[in-house]
Amino acid sequence: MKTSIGARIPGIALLLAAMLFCIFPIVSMLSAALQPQGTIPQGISWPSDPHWENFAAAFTAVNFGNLLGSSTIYVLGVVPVAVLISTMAGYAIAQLRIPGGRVFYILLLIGLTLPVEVIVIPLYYQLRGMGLLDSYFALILPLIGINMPFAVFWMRAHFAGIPGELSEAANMDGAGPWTAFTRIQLPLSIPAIASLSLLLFLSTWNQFLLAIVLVQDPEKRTASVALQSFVGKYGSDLVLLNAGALLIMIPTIIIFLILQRYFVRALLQGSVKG
Amino acid sequence: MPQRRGSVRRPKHITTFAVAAMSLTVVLGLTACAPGGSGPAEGPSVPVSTEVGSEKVELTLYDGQGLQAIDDALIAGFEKEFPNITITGNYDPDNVHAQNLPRVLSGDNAPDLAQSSSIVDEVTDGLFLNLDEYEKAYGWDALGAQLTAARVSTDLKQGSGSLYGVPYGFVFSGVYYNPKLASQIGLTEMPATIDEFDAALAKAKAAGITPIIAAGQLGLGTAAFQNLLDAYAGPEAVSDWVYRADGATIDTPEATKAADKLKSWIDAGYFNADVNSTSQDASYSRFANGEALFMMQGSWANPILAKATSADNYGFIAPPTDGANGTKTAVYNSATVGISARSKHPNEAAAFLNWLRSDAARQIVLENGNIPLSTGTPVATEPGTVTESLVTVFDEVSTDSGLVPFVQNATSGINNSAWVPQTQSLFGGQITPEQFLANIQKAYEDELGR
Amino acid sequence: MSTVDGNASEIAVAAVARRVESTSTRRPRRSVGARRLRWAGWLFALPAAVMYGVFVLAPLGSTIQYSFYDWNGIGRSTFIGLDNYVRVFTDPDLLAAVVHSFVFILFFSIIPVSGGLVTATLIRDIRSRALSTTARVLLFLPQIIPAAGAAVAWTWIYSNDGALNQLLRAVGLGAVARPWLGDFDWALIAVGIIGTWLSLGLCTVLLLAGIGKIDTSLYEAARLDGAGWWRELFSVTLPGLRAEIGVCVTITTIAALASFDVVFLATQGGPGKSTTVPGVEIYLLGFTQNRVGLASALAIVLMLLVLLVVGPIQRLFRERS
Repeated sequence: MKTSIGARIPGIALLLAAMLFCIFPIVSMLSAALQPQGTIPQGISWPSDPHWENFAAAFTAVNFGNLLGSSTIYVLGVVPVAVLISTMAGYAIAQLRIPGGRVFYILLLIGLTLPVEVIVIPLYYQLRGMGLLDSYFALILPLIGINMPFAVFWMRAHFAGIPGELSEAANMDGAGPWTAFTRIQLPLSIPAIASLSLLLFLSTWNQFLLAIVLVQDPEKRTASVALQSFVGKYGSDLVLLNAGALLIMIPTIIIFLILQRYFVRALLQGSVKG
Repeated sequence: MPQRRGSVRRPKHITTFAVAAMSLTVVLGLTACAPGGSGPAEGPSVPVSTEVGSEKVELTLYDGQGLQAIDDALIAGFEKEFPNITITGNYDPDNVHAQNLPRVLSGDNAPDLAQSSSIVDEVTDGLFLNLDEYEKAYGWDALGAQLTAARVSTDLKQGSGSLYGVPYGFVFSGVYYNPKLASQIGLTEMPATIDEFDAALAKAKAAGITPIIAAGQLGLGTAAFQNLLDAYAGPEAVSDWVYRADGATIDTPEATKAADKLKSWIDAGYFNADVNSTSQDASYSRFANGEALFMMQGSWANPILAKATSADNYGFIAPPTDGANGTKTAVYNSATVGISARSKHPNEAAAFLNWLRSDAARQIVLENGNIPLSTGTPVATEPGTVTESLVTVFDEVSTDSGLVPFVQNATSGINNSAWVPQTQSLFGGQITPEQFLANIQKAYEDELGR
Repeated sequence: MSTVDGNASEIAVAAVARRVESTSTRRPRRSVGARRLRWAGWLFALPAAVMYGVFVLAPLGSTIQYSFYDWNGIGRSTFIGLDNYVRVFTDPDLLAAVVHSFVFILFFSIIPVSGGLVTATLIRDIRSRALSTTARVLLFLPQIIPAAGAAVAWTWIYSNDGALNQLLRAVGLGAVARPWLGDFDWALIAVGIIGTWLSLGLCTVLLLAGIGKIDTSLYEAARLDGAGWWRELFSVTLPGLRAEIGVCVTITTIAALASFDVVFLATQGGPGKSTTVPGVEIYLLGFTQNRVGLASALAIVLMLLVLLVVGPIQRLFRERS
């Protein structure tokens, strides 16, 4: 910390360069999105008269209201259920020490490194067999299942860090495991649950491969897939395309900016405990 | 105690893994029976009738987004005449539609009507209804050769046999040109033969104009190759290949001539420099903006160009022929609509197919950039428009028996497995014309299990 | 890139947590009377087990099964033993896909981890709180954006009229300008750089957390010894970050090997097959070429590849720590 200003300048310059690299694609998109519609933008240039109304045109073109609606349905369908059942399972493995819990746990660990490409084809036939392909469940149910390895892992790590005496004390008071779970363990787990919810929100909102394969109704697709068909439909209109792409990114960016401290905390939680 | 724990621990680990592995095996055991299995095509589930009654019936139609405008207009026109029938259109991006079609048709909520450009696959898997009885009942045989691509024989070859769909019209591919750039380089008459075309390309290049703009990102350089292939090899040989005739091959001297010619154009710099990263949409707008002299594209581009630029900024001609006496050829596709084998309302769906022959339907088809069915009565076109040139060129080519199906439609997978990567490699200078053809033929035989 | 975005962050946390918990103390033994209670505990674990079994393990079983069949996904299937696997290891296109995914380890993993190390140390040395927060937010932004958005942004940057060529022309390197994603020699590198962009921030943030835990007295001691920036990095920061670096390498390597989204959206594997990866081939084979058996075999090979590569990485970074 005692380094002189002169010695720090190259470092700061390097850092600024890294920041520029990260923000550059967004700036390039914004520059294209603000050009007059129908023109072919050239590189990055700030228009003398920025056409903010392009975003309104893109809003209609991507059917943004509808998109927000369906994406919200997926998030609401996946996140609460996944969080609840993984919390229960993590509690069962770590605190109740269920027989066979280790086997279950190792099976889950296998899933943690499993690329989703590996199971996407049979999932398609399985969901068709269940007659679910045209409903929101076609994506909600598999996403809950696919998130289990990580979510249980996460909650188990959390419960492993809570002293076992707590539940044992509750047992002695005559409380059943359910009461001990809801009265004692859950309230202690709010931070872990909150960060898990945030991570699951992100992965659900940005889901792409499963969504293009499993959801056939264009009205029921996720933001990522909607953007892809938007590319197919308005690919020639670079101005509208970039405006639409930015528009689709805005919800997650806003949520990130508001909650960025929690996001970073969610990522750091494991290390902090160590 | 610590010692014992240490010695017990390792085996326990192994046991845990063994149990985990065994559980996996059990899961596998539960799923162990051969996948798939569906029967051959059968006739309709209800008695065939041309009467649709007045009961309320809801149908669905599945198509690619590229045809959404035309489908929506046709549906609206049909519903006006048959108020008790409503049709809901479901659309996917064109490539997704082509991929999803067999799965969508085999699902529980299969659409009643679906457009397909590879009906052999649908027929092989028993997904489309055999329409022979409807053909007799409605007298569709009057459409003659226009139904050729919609027929599949009992040994599953396209081009003859039972009827599995009715086209609502045709799309075909030719050459768009920019008249302003043409006169700028002193091109008073549009080239008709490959030699004249060659000369025009060289002139444009010398004048610093991009001679041809092509969209190679999704392998649309194939259009340039097939135009040359059709001219050199003749429409019949190419059709045989697409329709999977026994022993058909694309690795022939004529095809090599076509690939060599294309290669010479590529090497001469006649295509836009960024061909392999140019999307179809980008090529439309860049052509409309006057970047290139020619663009080899289909009739579907006309409505898009009409919106993007004024009518005196572009024109349309047939692909060049091999010498002045060569056959006029063009790559075409019929937008064939079939009825799902699972449809509960085949009679109403057939009524829609029959309505496609009406003057009203044909006018809609034309207005949306497709060439309508020919029924004897002409459709009205505005004189002097590009639409009129499209209809004229199509008539000339079909009179010359020069219509050839798209080589990309030979099998459902061959576009992605061969045409896209191989044309990109040819344009990128990665392979020779000989390798290009050999690779395509290899993929073709591989896909057909030959 | 199925595991980048939210998923990558998830695996990151999971891996950190795994390390932490392996060092946590063992619980004392329980009374025999609690055994019945323990069985009842399965009621808690059952919903998760069912969802995981039905939507992950069962499809995994089917993929293994399909991989032994010749099946177009609709009609009848034929058992063909290991033919699909033979094809995966002899088809030049599919082998190329595997090779590309290993090239991506450089761009998705090695460069971002090294870069993340440098940026994390730089952020740590910054006194201005505002600047360090801004840096963290901006660097992490690529992780938040859906891959489809990232693809639109980068396709535009790399296009003929895009910002990269504009930049090159502005500094007099116009001769180098080209349509980057359409160029056989450059497309793979261009897509790789998108991967670097996606992973850099994640690595920075993770490593930053690790640096925060390193005892400051170690740095002070190093300074008293007159250690410069580089010595400090190698003698204090790197050893202290062993576990975090392991986590970063693990998740970014999985992201490289299992990449799909960005490649599919930016190039579809083209031009030719010059940027294709196993994920894209699985999708194309299974859903556009109707070769479900071959696609499944490739999927299983991909899974084994990930386990084969990630296993040693885990061991390498876990030992001695």
